[in-house]
Amino acid sequence: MTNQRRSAVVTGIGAVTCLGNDIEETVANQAGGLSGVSGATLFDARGFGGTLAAEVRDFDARAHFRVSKAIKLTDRRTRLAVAACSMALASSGLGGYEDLGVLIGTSGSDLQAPELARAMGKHPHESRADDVPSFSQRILDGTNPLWLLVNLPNMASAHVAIQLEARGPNNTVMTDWAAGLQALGEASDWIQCGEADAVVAGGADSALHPFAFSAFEKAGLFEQESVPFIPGEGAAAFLVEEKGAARRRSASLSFELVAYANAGGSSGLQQTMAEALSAARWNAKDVDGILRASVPVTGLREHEEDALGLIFGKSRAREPHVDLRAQMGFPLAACSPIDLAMLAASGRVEGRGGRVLVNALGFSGQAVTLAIELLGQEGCQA
Amino acid sequence: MTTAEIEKKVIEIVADALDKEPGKVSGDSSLIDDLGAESIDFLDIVFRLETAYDIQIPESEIWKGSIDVGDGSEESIRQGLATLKAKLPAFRWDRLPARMTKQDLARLITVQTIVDYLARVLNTEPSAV
Repeated sequence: MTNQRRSAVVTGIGAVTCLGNDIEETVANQAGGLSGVSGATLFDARGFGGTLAAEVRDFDARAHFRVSKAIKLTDRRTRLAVAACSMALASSGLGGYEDLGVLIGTSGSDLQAPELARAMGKHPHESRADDVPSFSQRILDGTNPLWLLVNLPNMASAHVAIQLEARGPNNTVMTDWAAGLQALGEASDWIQCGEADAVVAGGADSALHPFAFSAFEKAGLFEQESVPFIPGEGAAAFLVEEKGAARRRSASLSFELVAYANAGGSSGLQQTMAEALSAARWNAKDVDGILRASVPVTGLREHEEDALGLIFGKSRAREPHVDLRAQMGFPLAACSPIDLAMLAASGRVEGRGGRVLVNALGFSGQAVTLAIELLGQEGCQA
Repeated sequence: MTTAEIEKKVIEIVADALDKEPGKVSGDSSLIDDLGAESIDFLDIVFRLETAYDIQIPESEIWKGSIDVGDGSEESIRQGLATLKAKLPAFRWDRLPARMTKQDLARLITVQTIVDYLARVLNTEPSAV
């Protein structure tokens, strides 16, 4: 229950992407025209219809882990999450805040494919694939007892909390590719309803493993003609604070989270954009910029363009816009948070002021829209 | 396979599992008190040893490398400890309570405990202590 409306602002940003191991390097390399896409090296993708990947390179997780022994209990997306959150907290200047909340959005773990393959491969000629007792026994005998601890869905949020000593509320959002932006939206709700005064929130994902590539192949994504599907990985996190508290400690304010909407089902982005505009008390003409979901999947792109047309008119929906997928691949649930982090860090909105709608869209149709206001720009309320 | 080879492998496994430099791990390193092992680390180390040597290690067996506590009674523990203290005078006994219980026994597990156990299971001569 809120007695007075609290506002949520972002005071710190951290990111690890295929273009850099921090947000500054990422922004600089993107502006410099570098490509984060190359042949996959994290696993042998030659058996799949797509072999390109947007990989994070030269990433040293150890630099971000206060307790380095815990690294053995993490998968790649968890390490990326810890790094991004650690950098977000550091850049905020908040530091040492015990009641810090954690909200991470992710589409899931890589399931440690090599370890599973080793466990199953010890007896390749025994039993049929549907022999569940035999399968179970081979998994029990052949995988490290810690395997489950690595792959549980909430492990990214858990490890962020351990490494940052964050003892506030903790949750994980798993609404497939929309999860990262949704986590940020949920964090703004926590701030506004008084659940927390500071939350580190964002998205972390790695699509670069056999299980993900199998799913992409089955869905025909490598064979799309309209737009290339290049799996990627990365993480972006934001330190979200109650605005009054942030101002009192003279924090640098990056942007305000003005409104948040999410929806499943077929109504998707049209519904969430309409709800976000309504909650923000903006008209469509008040929006200075639209950060599209830009999901590189035939059908989902058209869905977003149709929704934009209904909300903003077809002319605006068809305006040229920046699309980073060819340069940075598609890091699933981390995609929209990374795009947002880059926008906020560069402080640029094409044209007018700082009121931006940010979209995310999941393969299942989950839609998320945030209405944000970039702060510190001419004409913006700070 | 020699005991020296087993010791080298065990140190490599323990160091990796506990995120320590191999040079900082020795035979008399207590896994808990010197190397910071927690309960899940024991699960990890046992699995890695089982995989490395293609054996199964029942949890209770890991004790039998260096100490015999018989039926686990206070007197059995006292006698087993007296035997162990004679064998390992350099061990940091001052870190352990004067009257030890079964719950304290895990702190006695050293790298040497594991090496001696493997040497016996793999029919190799254990190190003289």
